[in-house]
Amino acid sequence: MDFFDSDMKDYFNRQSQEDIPEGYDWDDMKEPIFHKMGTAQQTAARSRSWFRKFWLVAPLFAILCLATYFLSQKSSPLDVNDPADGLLSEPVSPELPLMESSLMEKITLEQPKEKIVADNRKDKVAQATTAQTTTTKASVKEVNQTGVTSKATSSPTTTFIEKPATQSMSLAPRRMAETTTRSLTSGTRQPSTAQLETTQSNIATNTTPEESVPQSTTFSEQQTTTEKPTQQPLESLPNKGERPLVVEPTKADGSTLPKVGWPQETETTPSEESPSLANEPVLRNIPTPVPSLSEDTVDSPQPKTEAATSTLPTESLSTKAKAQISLLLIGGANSWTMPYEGDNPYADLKRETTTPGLGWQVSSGIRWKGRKGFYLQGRLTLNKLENRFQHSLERDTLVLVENAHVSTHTHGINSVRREIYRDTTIIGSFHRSVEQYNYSRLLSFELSGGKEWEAGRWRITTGAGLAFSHLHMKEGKDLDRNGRIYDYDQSSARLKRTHLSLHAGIGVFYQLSNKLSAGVQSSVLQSLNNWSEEDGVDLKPRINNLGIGLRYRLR
Amino acid sequence: MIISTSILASCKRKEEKGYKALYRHSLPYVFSIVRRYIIREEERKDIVQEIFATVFLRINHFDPAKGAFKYWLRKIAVNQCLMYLRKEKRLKHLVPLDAIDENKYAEEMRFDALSKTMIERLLSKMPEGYKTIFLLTIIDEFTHSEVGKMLNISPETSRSQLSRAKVWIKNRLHQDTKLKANGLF
Repeated sequence: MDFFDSDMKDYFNRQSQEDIPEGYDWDDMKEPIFHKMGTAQQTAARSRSWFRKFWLVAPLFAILCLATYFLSQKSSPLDVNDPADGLLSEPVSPELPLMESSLMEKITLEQPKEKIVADNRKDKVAQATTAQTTTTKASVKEVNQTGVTSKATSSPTTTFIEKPATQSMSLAPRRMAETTTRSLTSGTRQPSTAQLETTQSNIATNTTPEESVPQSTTFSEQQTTTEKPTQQPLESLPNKGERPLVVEPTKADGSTLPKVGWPQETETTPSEESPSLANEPVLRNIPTPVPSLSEDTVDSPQPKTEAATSTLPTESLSTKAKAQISLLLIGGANSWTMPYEGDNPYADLKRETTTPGLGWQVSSGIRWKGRKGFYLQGRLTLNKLENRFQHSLERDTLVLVENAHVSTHTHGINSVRREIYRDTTIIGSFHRSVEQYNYSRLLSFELSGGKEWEAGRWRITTGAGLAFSHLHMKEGKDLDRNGRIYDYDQSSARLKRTHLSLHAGIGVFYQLSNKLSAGVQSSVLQSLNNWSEEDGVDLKPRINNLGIGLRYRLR
Repeated sequence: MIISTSILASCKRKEEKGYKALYRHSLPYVFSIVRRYIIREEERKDIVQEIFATVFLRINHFDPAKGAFKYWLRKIAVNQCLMYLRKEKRLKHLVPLDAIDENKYAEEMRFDALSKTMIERLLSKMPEGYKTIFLLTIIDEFTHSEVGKMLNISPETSRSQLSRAKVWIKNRLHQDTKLKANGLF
């Protein structure tokens, strides 16, 4: 490129003021340049703001997703409190013999397998909402107990009413289902007298057909479901593809009414009666406790529930339904951000001179925990916030000395001495560097709601809410709009006192005992309103807390 | 162009007198850069404003240990020009190969004195992609790697485009010389 290097470079690199056209004076360009600076700052602040919002929302969203995932994992059929659900979904070994007794009467049902599965799902929904009624499209033949009572004397087969399945969850149908299942699978169990009496009383009470329908629904569903894999016995049944249900008559009073009952929980274990039964996981699940669902739905004299006879502590089950009140005490460290924003150069100045530091935090609160782990919490938090003010100034100063002695002249001939005094300006420069740690206290009342998940002794808590804060400033140093350092106190600090903030947190607690838990909690307090009282300066700090603490359950 | 540290310190303190001094000292240099990349006179003013706004906002990021202020300013100015050209969609780096017959005027040519008019004519006629790479590499003395990063192309592409830009200039000068010899130019 040597052939035109010199000419080109000389041409391009010439930097003479003469080449610059008119209109490029500082006075003409000043305003547009400052305007562009302001626009650029606003754009940058907006992008920063979105960035911050994203990082505030994204973790919360991720936590929510994880929580939903774990919750859905936890609510699998065998893990829920009601073992009946696990029983329903658990298949029965096809090898188990089906005993037919002369005392037993067969009830045949026509229910497709697919519909059974659908109904089982609905059964869980109904269980969760306790006594909610659900109409399904599945055509399920249900037992009308009244019909059973009247016809059992004359006919060995019971009558069915075909209607849309209306499910109403109560303990009785579950017991019936369990009993039926056992009868179907083992065929050797006989209901005890007490249980049969209980069943009788259930039937003898004001049980209308509508009320008994759900029982029958569950009864039939469970019976059918549990028999789903039993292909071999089906072939011996009168109607291929249909499921038998065994209803045993009572032996206590000699009545001809078909009595539906369930075996005693204290009976011999399945392994004692049938080896094949002992290997069956379904039947091992049978003695697990039934939740307090029965208390809500059964008014009649209650049969001896399995929950009552279970060796597992029922307290933990019952406490889930009751509200818990706990006290909290958390202490830890905090850090905060002071994002001075705005198109004002003063905001830049504040941002440059202020550096947030590490402080501490204590909080105490009370928590009311309701059903399904949801809770409400009120908390009083004291944050001690720290920020470093650092400012260095290098400035030229003009000092005017009036009537200063400038020089002395002596006349060469007459030796007259003449002193000259004049107003003189002395130019000096100074450098000043100031570093000061400013402290302030922020008292917040946080009202939040959230959810807690339990995993063994571990408790994972998430929550969000609002916080009302009051700021108390101690004495400190700051920079005013003119770039001068001034001392402030509580009254002269140019910050607003009361604030509204968004509060979100997550915590992990370990249950040390029945009432005491210890854990770690992290929370964020994002201010929603502007703290600064200066025009054109926007300050919405965020306080991040990390603390350890204790939680004591009052009841 | 030499900017004193006191001016820079004043700018860092966001003092208007510092801004003013910096503007006055560096405007000729900034304008010489803008003039290369932006042909239209009416657009240059806007670019100059953008450049100084960026310089004033980022003056705290300037580190004297990493290089002279002139080079920091040059990079900002060139980047602003390129951003503007990109925004206007005038910057097309790649010129098709068949656009130039490279072998036609392969012999070395030397022009001892290019007039100002001729240089301006050359620049105005030069395809934008050639011109950008030519200015970045020859005049502003950026390396091909730096040019590649600025224009988001590979260094090899930058080299090849520069080579073609040179051929284009040769061809153009040859044509102009012939026209001049014939009394038509």
